[in-house]
Amino acid sequence: MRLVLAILFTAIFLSTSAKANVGVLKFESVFSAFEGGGAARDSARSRLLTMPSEELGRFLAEATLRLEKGSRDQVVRAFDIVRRRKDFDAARAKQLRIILSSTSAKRDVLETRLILLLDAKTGELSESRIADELKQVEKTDVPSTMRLSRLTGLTDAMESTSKAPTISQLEMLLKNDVFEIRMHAVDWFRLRPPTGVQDRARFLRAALGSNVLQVRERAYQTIASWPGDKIIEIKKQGGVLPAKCAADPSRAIQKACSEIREKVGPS
Amino acid sequence: MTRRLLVFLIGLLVVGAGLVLTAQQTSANQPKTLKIVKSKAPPKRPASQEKIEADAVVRHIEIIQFANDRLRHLRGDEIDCADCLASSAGEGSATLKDKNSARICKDKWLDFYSKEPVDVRIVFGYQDSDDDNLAGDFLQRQQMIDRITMKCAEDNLVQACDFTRCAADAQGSVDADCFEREVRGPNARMHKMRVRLTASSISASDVVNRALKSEQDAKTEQATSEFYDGLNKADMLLYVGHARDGGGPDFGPAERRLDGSINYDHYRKLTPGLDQMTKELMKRGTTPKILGFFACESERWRTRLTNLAPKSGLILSATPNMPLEVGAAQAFAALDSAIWQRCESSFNRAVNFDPVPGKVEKYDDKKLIPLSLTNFYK
Repeated sequence: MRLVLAILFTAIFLSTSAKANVGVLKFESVFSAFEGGGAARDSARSRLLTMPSEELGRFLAEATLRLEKGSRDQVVRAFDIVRRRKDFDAARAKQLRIILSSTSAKRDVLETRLILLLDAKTGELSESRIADELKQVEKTDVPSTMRLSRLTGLTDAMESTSKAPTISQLEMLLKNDVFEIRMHAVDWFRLRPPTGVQDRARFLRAALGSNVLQVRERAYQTIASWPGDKIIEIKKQGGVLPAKCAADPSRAIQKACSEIREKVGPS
Repeated sequence: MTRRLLVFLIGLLVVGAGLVLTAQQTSANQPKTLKIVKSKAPPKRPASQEKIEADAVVRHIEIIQFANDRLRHLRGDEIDCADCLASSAGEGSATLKDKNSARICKDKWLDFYSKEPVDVRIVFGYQDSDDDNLAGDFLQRQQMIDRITMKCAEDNLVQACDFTRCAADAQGSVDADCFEREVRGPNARMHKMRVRLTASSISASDVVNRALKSEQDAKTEQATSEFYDGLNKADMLLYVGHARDGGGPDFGPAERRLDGSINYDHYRKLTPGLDQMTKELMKRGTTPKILGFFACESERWRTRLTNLAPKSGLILSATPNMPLEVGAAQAFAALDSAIWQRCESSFNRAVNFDPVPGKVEKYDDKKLIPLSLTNFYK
C-alpha cells in the first residue's frame, strides 16, 4: 500500500510539473515564429505589439527561461518588437535589459544595438558610454563591418533620445580609416548639425575636400537639403562651395550643385 | 482487480509524465543558433578573430569566414584534379566526354577573360526586414570589402583576396565602390579584374535611411543604375537581396503597411522590380556572361531570364526564406570561382560550400537547396 501511495504521489507531482512547464511554454509559437518568416512571423509580431501588459509580463518570464536554454536569437528578435510597443517605457526597458544580462553570451549586431537602445530609453546612455562606443569605432585592428555596425547602433540609440554627437566626435569620424564611417559622419552631421556656424562650415569644408567621392556627394547633398538662408550663412564662412562643382563628373554632385545654385544663385 | 487496475493506471501516468518532460527537455536542448551542417571541420580561426567575436558577433562575418574555410578545403581537395580548373583542364582527361567538357570549360573562361578589365559587379539590394531596423546590405557589402581586401593566405587556396581600392582618378577622387587586382587568366596571361561592390542603402540603419529620404532616394537610384548598367557591361553581375516574394530585385526601402510590416501584396500584385528588369533586358543585346540572383526563390524567374538573356550563365536560388547573408557568402564563392576559373562541377561545389553529394546543407536550421551555374558550360 505504501508503495502504491509513493508511486501515486510521484505521479501526481510529475504530472503537475509537466502541466506547469506546458503553461510556462505558452509563447512557444511566438518565439519559434522568429526562426522562420511569412504569416507566422507577422502574427507573432502583431501579438507582441498588442498583447495586454499583464500577458507581456508572463511573456518576459518565459523569455528568461528561453535565454537560459540557449534560444537567444529568438528572444532578442522578440524584444526588438516589444520595444516598439506604445506602452514601452523606461521601467520595461530596464526589465528587458536585466533579462538580457541574466545570461552571458556572445552578442550579435542586433543585440548590441538593442542594448544601446534600451540604455538610451533608461537614460543610461551617458557621455562616457558614448565616448567608449566611439573608441571602439577607432580600433583599426577590428574588421570595418564590426565597427560600422557598432556606430550604427550608437546612432540609432542616440537618435531615439534626440541626442547629438559633438562636433569633435563628428570630425574624428570624418578622419576614420574606413571610408564608410566617413560617409556615416556626414549623414549624422546632416541629421544633427552642430549649432555653431563656424563648426558647420569647418566640417563641411573637410567633407567637401575629401578624396572619397561618396563623402563629397553626401556633403553636397547635405547643403542642397538646407534652406537658402542657411546656405548663405555657411557660404559667408568662405571656401565651403567650390566654384566648379557643377562640372564635377559625379551626377549626384552636379544635381546637388544645381539645387544649391537655384536656392542662392551662382557663387 | 481494482487495485491492479489502479497500479496499471498509475504506471501509465508516470510513464506519460516522464515522456512529456523528456520531450520538453529534448526540444529545449536543441541548439537554435547559427549552425551549418559541416561535412568537414573547418580550420581553427586565429585567436584575434575569436577575441573580436567574443565582443560582438556579426553573423555575416561568421558565414563568410565559413565560406572561406570551405573554399580552402575544396581547393585542397581538388589540388590534383586537372579538370577542375580551366588553366589545367584536359591535361588529365581520360575519356572523349571529359576532353570535350575540358575544352568547353577552357573556352568559356577564355571568353570571360577576353575584355580588360574584367568587370565583376555585386549589387546588394535593399535588405530591410519586418523585425529590425538594420539594412543588411550595407553590412554585407562591408564584410565583402573586409574579406576581399585581406591578404591572400600563403597557401593561396582561396583567391577572392588581395584586392585593393581602385586608384584615384585624375582629380584625385577615389570611388569607394571600386576594387581591383591582377588575376592570372586561363591562358596564363595577367588580367586586371575590377570588382564593384554597391549597396542600396546609405547606411546600415533603416532609421537613418528613412530620415534622409532624398539621399536614400539618390542611393537607390545609383544602385539601380549600377545593376542595370551591369546588365549590359559586366562580365559577371550578381544580385544579393530580397526577391520581395517574386516582385523582383529591389534597391529601395520596402513598401510597408500601416502597422510597419512589409506590404507583400504590393510586390506580388505589381512585381515592380521584375517588370523593370524585363524591360531593361528587352532593350539590350549583350548580357553578362554570368548572371546570378542570390535571392529567395529566384529560380521562379528562370524561364523569363533564359528567354531574355539566352547567352548568360545563370545562378538562381530555389531556397525559400533564404537568409541573405548566405547569399552574400555564395556570391563570394562565385567570385573566388571566377578567379580560379573553375570548371562546372568544381564551380557548383564552391557555391554550395562543398557539400557531400546528396547531403542537404542547413543554415540556422533552414534547408538550403543546392545552387548551380547553368547555361555557361556549353
